Amino acid sequence: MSESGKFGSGAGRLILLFCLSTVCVLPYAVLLWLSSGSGWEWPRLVPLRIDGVAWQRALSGSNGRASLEGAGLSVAVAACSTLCGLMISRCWSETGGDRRRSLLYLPLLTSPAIAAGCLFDLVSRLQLAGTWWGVFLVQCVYGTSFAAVLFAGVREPSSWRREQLVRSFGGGDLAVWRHVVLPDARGLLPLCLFQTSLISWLDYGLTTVAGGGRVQTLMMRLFSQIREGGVSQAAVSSLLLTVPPLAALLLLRLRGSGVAVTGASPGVLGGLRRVLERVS
Amino acid sequence: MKAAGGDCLTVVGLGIALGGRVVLQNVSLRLGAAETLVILGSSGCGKSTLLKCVAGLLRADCGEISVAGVEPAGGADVAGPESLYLDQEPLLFEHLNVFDNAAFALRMRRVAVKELTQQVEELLERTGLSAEAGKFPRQLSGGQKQRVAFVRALLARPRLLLMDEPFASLDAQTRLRMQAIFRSLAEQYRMTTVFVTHDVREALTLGTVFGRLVDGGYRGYGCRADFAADPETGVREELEFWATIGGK
Repeated sequence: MSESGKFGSGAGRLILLFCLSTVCVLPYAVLLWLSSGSGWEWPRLVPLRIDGVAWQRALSGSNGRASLEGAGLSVAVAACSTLCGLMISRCWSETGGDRRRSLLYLPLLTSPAIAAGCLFDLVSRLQLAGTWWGVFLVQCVYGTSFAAVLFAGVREPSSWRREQLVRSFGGGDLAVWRHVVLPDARGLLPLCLFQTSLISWLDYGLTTVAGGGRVQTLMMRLFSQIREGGVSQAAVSSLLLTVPPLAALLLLRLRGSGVAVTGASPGVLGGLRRVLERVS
Repeated sequence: MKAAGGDCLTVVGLGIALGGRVVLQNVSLRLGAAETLVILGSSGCGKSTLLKCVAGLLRADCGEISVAGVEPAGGADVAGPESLYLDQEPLLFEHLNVFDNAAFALRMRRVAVKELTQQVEELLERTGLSAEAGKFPRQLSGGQKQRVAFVRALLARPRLLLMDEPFASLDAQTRLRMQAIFRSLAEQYRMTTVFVTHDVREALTLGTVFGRLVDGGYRGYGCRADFAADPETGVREELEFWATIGGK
């Protein structure tokens, strides 16, 4: 089949590219437009003023605090989940067969809200309900499960023998991690950190149940702003929510990581990555 | 149990079954310091199992093993620093270059940089790897990887080196070169080695003491002549083959 037969004519390709670009960029353009105006009353199509008041409020008020709290939570969950996931997958590779390995998927089969419901009793008993630590705990359980699944296939048959070799040469646990465990997982570490941080950053269900409304992440603020009808504020929050994933994508791109990006919104992120690849 | 005076390795009544099959039974042997024991045996006769038991990587069902008077760790634990098991696979660290791979054991022992550099460079030179010092394992051929693994094992200075057909995957020329290097270094560093192989010629080239594993049992030979005289070792056939070739 000829090239033009496969992909249509040049004009057709251009139209297709334009449509795809529009679909990818349009949500961000609309959000920017929504966030920059104020006095926007139904059924007007344009706001009364373009003044950036929503941005000023967002960066100085509770949105700023929520962003920081959410970012801190996200970083902590990513670090803890990745480490725990590595440890679990390492133990599992020594003891678990393929059938038993499928147990690792169980937490991921439930929605975050259901997982949070299951864990809420534990969080309450630990007197962590409604606290940052309570949300951290349930998000870590969810993130760890994801990380363990991700790293489960990393271990090679020779990994254990290389660990033995390190110990034969007089190395301890630290040396084993430095020279076997981490190098084996090196290719997936950035992806895992990125994905688990996204799990936390974009989470609503776990934070709602475990945080009891007292832990205010940016995602929680977004939902309350939507409920209150604060369109401009919600648009600002939405854009702020996309900043870390975009920054992480750029970072991954810059360091030449060949990882495939999937996650909370795989379609959008995957598309963004391809756009970034084209741009760079 | 402690190794008898002067012996570097003592094995008494060793037995192990794997997957319901008896692999080794009542294996007893002794090895003096600075000797190379070559154990000949066909594939699957338990050669690797014996080495792994001595290294402490497998727990024997019965019997005692003593390396230079120190009991090696058993079960899931690791071999003590007294013995080092050199696998058929080089098992190099992919994130380290040739120099750092070779220097690994010395770094673990926190040897001073100057001394470490001198020792590593000397052995890399002797094994023809100086030009590859900055390369990573993925950039090396199979023979080069095996040489790096060998240098790394030598620099660890184990009291007992356990070599599990380390040259089996090499081409004939590289294999001969590695055998020559091994023999030379074994003499220079007075290494005590157990070397398992199924290659008669390799056995005769490298060994100072000889043994054979058959049906899970071990048979030791007093000297090279005894080993060569046993029709089961295959030495006679080898000699006859070369005589035939020479006659033609």
